[in-house]
Amino acid sequence: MSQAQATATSVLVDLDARKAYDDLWRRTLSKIPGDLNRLVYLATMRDYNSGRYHHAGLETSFGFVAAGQALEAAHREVFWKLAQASLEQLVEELELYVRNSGESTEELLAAWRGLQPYRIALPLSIDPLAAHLLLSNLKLGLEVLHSRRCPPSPHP
Amino acid sequence: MIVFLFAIFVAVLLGWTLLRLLHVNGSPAELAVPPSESAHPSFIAEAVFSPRDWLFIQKESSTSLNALFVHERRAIAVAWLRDCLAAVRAVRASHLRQSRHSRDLNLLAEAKLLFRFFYLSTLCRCLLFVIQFVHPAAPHATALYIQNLASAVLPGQPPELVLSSVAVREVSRERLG
Repeated sequence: MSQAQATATSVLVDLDARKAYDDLWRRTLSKIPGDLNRLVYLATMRDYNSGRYHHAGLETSFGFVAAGQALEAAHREVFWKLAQASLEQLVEELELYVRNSGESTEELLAAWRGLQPYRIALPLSIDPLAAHLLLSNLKLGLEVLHSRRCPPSPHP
Repeated sequence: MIVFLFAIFVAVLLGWTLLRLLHVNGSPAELAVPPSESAHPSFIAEAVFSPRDWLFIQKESSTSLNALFVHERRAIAVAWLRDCLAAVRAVRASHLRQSRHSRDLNLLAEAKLLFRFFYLSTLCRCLLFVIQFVHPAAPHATALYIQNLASAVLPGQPPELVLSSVAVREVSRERLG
């Protein structure tokens, strides 16, 4: 185990939670392309009302508590990675997300620019300024993609 | 405008020189504040005032994108600087409370620390003013200087940063190739 991995898993005190975290990365997250896709996937594992994470497979193998801790750790990890990404990297993440969504680019951009669903994809209890930065960068990234597809008409 | 920026530069330079002369290393008394009042993650200043992002937006050749970028980054920069100021105030107040009960108070060290607080607050206020008139990447160096100064004066970073700054990038790189 590398120092980086050791640091990542050090937040998970429980041994089962660490195993669940490794299992989550190996079986699921490593197969999802891009951190934005991973962030959205992990957010969908969280109950809207309670904020608790659920994953049937992980819960069966490692228990509710360990599975919840592993999902939360992974969610925060992916959030911090995206928060530190440059705008250019985030635009690439958005392009990857659009390609993998199966939706038409126009429809997805319209929905994301209008509804801003990415706002509920953030983990709980994170640094507000880091969250503000990521949300702002996602908004800018969407505008970049929109601008590339529909460049503003030149002045008459 | 140039004269004003030059005056700020001279003030920063003077402050930096004074700090070097005073050799302020560490605080004379324990600085105890809750983690919630600690400084923000160290990448914030770098990201908000990033010249790379500014160049990227400029390459898109869109005036509306440029305007949106400046607006968004200015809002985050203001929030960051206000949080810095609030954190400095909180730490200073906490430190003054503790100093009152201290029996072996080192007056010179206390004066140095108070000067540091004052210097950091002044820098934050100056930058708050400057960012209203320049593009977000212009005060990049000053923002990083403030970030470094703040991390020296204010208590440690939130625990997530340990995970975020080193582990996240490398874990993902290793696992995902």
